[in-house]
Amino acid sequence: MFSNYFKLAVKVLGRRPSFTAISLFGISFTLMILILLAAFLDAELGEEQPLGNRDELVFVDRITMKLEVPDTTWQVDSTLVNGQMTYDSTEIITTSNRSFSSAMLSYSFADRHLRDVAGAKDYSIYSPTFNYDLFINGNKLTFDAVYSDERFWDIYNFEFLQGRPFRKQEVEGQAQVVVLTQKATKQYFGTDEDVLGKFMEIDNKRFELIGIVKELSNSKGFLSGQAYLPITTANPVVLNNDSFQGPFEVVFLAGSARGKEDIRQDLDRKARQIVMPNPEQYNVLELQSSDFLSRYAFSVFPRRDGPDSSQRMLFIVFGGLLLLFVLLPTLNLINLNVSRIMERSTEIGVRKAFGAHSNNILLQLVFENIVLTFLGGAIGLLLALGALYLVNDSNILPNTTLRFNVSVFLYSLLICLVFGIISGLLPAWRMSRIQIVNAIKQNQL
Amino acid sequence: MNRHILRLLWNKKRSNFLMFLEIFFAFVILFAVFTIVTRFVRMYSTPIGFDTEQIWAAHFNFDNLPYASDTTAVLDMKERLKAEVAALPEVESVSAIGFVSPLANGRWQTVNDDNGFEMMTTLHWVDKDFRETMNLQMVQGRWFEEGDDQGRYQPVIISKKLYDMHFKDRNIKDSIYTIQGENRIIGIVENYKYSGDFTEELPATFLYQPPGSMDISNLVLRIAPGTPPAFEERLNQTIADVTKTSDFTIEHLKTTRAVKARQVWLPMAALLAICLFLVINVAMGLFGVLWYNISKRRGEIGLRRTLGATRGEITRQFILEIMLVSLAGIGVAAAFAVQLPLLNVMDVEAINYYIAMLMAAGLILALVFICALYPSRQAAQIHPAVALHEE
Repeated sequence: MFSNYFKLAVKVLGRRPSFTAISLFGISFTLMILILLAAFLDAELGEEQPLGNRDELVFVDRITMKLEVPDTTWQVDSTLVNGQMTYDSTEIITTSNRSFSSAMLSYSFADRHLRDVAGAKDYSIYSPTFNYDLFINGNKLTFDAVYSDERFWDIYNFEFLQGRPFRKQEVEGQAQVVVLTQKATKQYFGTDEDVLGKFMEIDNKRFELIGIVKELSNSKGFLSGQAYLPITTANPVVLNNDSFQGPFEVVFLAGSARGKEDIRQDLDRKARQIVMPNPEQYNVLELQSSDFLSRYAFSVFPRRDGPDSSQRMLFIVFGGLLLLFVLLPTLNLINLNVSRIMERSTEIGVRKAFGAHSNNILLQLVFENIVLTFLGGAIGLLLALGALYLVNDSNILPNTTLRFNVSVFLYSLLICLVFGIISGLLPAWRMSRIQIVNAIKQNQL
Repeated sequence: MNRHILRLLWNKKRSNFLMFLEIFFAFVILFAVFTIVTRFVRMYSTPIGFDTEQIWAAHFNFDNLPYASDTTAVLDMKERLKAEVAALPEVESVSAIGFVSPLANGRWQTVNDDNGFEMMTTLHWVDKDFRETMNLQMVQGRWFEEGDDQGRYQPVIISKKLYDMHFKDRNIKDSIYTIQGENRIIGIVENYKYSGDFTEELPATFLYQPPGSMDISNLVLRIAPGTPPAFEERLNQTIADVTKTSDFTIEHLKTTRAVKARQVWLPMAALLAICLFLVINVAMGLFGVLWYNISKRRGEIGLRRTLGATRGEITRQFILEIMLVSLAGIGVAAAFAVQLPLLNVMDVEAINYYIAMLMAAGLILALVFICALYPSRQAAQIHPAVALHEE
């Protein structure tokens, strides 16, 4: 049956080439853009290295200190009642923020207060904020340096091309060892062969190269370092700073998705319990925690209410835009399909007259439309591959390589199917319910 | 004639509804995108107000100096730092400034109503060489001079934006206002859009930072034209020698400006490209549908022609039909869209919405007109005899 439908569909498409071309143009471009979008999202939010544990991570990257004081307002309403002035006074007590300070964490704070958080299987303290200008033969290289402990490598599963991460003894012994990304290795040493064990100078210290990791394919600020160094080799002033704020963040690994909630609750509880050193300066402390998605959302739409609010915002904005974007080509296709299907009223009338059920007609017409969408999808896929190549080649998105992989392909298939069904359903439904007499009678339109 | 067309439209309301819906959503999308684009283009149209071409900036983190607790040593270092950098022959001029550096992400702002009106301004601590280094344009008054911190009131220089917002048409030279403490206004500068090309210009106030101040955390330098890139290594070394740390970065404002601008125009270009595709898509769809619908109405056209309608009248009828449907779609969508500026839902100036609305409506109507023109003309060419014969 479907092979018959297929033959018929191909015939019908050939009958009015200009209409088919218009439909295909719309379908293929829509799908091309959707495929590009899927590839982009996959690169940004997918489980690429080093984010294999993406769904189990909780970040604490901001500590906010506030001075909240009760703010009393006297409000007096005067009204004239029977020639007499009456006064109605209200006292409104609110809290007002006198001062506010928000920054990343200091090492001593993280070390003292965030070591045993309920629900966390593992944690790591690191600082992604340092960068150093290095000069090689008069060329400047700006390296973002990440100072981390050894647990960093367990939580983030970097793919090592050569060598190894640094270990606990090395962190404790302040060993001057460094892990570089592949590109950074090539930039600094000119090659990435036989470079393990060579030395490089960062921050006036000589570091031995012990590992090379694969380039990161994401644009997330907290993981975009080129050089990874043991936390103990960082500037001692920074490490020993005993105020609450500094350049560090903490990542926790939860055993499960539920564990994430436990961790975040425990962090809130801890934040309330911490005694402020001088309450006349700041008397309230908040720890801003986020999971991977809300942290990403926060970097795109920073909101004062925190990452969860950003995530809602991201979903609303993104979902709204996507909906509008898909809606328009769909409506357009429905419009075209309605016109085009009317032409075939005679054929359908005859089929119905010979006993075809409405559902059969519906299935046939939707199937034809799916054939059309998949044809458009194939063209769209080719266009998307070309566009991916162009985007990567032109380096429009620095630090991001869009890839076409299995999940993107599956997404595209799904998108095609949904698009085909939606745009074919309404015209087909209308046609399948057409009265036989009207359908067979010519010029009744 | 018009009532006749309305009745025709009503009779075919089902197929016209789809067209209506398509126009409706096309307007919504174009309105949204044009609002964003208008907003950024209008921001871009105010000049940035300073040079970026030969300007470098060095950002320090003096909290982490190994001798940070020795205040005299830090002060001494900060004074020597500016002098030694200025002594390099490639450096034309250098200025030591506070926490907020041009095109960096920092911001310091203050709001008060001590002057009898609510005034918001960003604060920038700069020294006497800042104007010359950045090539700021003075509108009125003078820039800071050495010894300006000696007077009874701390002198400030405000931007024209701040002047226009609160002091328009008043002579405020040497007036005292409460901005950051009590300050004497000694000058007005033209523009200072320090966050980048595609940002809103915020009112700015410059405060004088005397040499050797504790709060110095950035240097801006004007490099002589034709300086080889290798000079940066020497500059880096000079700074590292004076500060005894390598925890600082040097950035080229020209590059930073381009990168910041690109973060805006790239998504904007992508949005416009998607819009362009949507518009082409809709146009082709409309064209196809109109062509098909009109060719289905040959009988009707033949009859009207026989009864004496001219070709122009036939063309006009079809164009009017489709324009009315479009106007309905645009009208309903605009009724929704106009709520945004009326209710001030988002922090966007109302004028942006209205410009976007006009652009979206204009584009859609023009497009519909073009798409309707050819099929309607074709319809008008139909010979009555042929059309009626088919019937």
